[in-house]
Amino acid sequence: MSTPVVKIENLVKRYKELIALDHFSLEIYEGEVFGLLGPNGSGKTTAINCLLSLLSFDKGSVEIFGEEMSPDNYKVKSKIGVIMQNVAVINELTVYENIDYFCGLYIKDKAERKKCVEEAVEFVGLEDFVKFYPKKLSGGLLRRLNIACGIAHKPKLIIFDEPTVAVDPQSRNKILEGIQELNRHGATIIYTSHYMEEVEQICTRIAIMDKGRQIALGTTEELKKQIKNTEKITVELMEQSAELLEEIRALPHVYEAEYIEGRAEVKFSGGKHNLIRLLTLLQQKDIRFGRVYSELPTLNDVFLEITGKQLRDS
Amino acid sequence: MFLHLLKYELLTGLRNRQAMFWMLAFPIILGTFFNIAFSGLYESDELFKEIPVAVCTEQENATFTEVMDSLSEGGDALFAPEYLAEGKAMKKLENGDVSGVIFVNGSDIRLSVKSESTAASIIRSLLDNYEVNVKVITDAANADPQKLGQVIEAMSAEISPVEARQMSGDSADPYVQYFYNLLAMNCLFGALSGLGLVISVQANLSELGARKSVSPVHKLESVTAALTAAVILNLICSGVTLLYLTLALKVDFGAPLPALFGVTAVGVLVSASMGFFIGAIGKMSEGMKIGILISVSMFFCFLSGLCVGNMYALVERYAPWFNRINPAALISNSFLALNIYGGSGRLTANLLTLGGYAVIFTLGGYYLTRRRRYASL
Repeated sequence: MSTPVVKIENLVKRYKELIALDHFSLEIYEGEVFGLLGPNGSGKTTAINCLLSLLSFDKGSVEIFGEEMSPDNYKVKSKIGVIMQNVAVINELTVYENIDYFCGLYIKDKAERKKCVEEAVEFVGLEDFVKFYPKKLSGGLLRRLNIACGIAHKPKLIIFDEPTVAVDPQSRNKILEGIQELNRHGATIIYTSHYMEEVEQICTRIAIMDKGRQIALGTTEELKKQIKNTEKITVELMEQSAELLEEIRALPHVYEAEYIEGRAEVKFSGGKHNLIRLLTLLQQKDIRFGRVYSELPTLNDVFLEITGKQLRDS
Repeated sequence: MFLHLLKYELLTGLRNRQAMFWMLAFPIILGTFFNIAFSGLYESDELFKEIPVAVCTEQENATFTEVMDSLSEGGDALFAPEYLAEGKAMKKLENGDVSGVIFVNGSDIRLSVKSESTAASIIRSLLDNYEVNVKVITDAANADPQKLGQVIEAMSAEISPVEARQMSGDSADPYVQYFYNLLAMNCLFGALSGLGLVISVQANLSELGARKSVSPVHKLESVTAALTAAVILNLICSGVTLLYLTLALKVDFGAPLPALFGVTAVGVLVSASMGFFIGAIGKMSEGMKIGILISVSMFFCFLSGLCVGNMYALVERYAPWFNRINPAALISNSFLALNIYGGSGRLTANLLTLGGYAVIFTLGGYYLTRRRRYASL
């Protein structure tokens, strides 16, 4: 593989007794959409802030574009775009002025900057709102402005720190599509979120974090292969018995089966035609059933199996 | 880059309605209220009006008539006498058109008033003095006519324990101190602007600060642009306030406008840099820093006499060195020095000390906000 765009080695960050990052290491390569997934408080934002040299750390090293990152490494900083978790715009400036202001921190040439600002406005779909002040924008539009301010200077590395928190579905889709488009235009993306669906949808590689540690790393498929669960089938049953449950558990590849609120939830590890086998058994036993769902494992299942807790609720 | 930053810092400041209210509208409103309140006081207490008095003469007294005429002439006339018949005079007294009626019957002079008042006391005092002086002169003339000239000379001489001193400023207005305080307060708002700029560039105090901190702009450049904008905006606001007070409200500061503006400018510079310095200290929250800044400012203001009139004199008596280093006292004292002495060694020393403060605070602020990683955000 080529030289990583981002290389974090053995990063340790302590807040008195609390260890926020526990020997955290990571390598991100050019062209990736890298997802940093983990529950709230898992250390994602702390890792990003250490990466950007905003936070001091107790141990470890951070390299970006092959150079050690420091608060005065302006050469590296000029290639980075950051979209913070909370909206960081200036309320007294219009949409256009905000983008122009932040873009101006990176691009001095006026003509070039004007072009970049106009492209950013178009990219986030704020053409009709350029003269609006941030207070007049809805939550979704405000998030889009926040993104435009971070990407107008066409950075090579873009860090999105939970950009879709409290965003309506329409704006969320627009943001996710935008991130993929930025990637297609050559930007390497780091995307932190606790929404596993988003990470699954756009990220080419994912690191799952918990308690400041990296607990899993790989593509979505690679991560799913790391766990036992390959398929979960849920059947609404009209009648339930211990005997039936035992017979389900005896089916090939079933490693877990239980009744939950009038339904049988059956987990398989590997195998093909699991659904047909299960329904054939119910037919043979003359058990009436309602709706049937078959679900492939999610990143939540990966997290659940590794940590023993739900990703979203932990 | 600097001009780009300065342009947007100025735009941001100008469009910040809350800041503009406190920096511009509030001093103008307060100044207008001061003017209304003190104009009433001038009319009732300070601007002396002639006392209307009726004179009823039964038998002419040439000396008294001459005295009365001399006190009724010119721009600083004490009385406005009307020579009337007794009936008309009493009717005017009854209606309140005159403050007293003086009956002159040769050397016998009597006064009639409707009720006791300041005007009645002044008339009575005049008559008492007149009678005493006439008695002294008469007695001296009878006892030793040769010494009459010396007696009259002694009576005319003004004896005062107070040494007269020439003021260059024309304003002896006792209420102008309130307008000095208003200008000083306006300068102090510069401290809040200075504090605000630190908050907007420090990553541990605002998201905006974090965003600016990850950009490739040198902290020094970013801070200088913000500090320059804060000073410019405060200067504009203080200048407009000063113009409004002098041109619209006709407040007489007793010093030329450019000199007043110069002192205001130095005050703004010190305040903004002080806010910048205090804002840059430590990792406290914005609210905590504002609290500290206001407490420090109020402490300096209190000991400079902006709140309690004689505090400056008390500090001067017990700890004079503090008045030489207290920024608020130095600003207020500079205005006073302009008014009373029209500029002096004291004014120069004050301005130099304030300039020194501005340099120390600015350099200290730069040092504290230089490149940094934060332990927590």
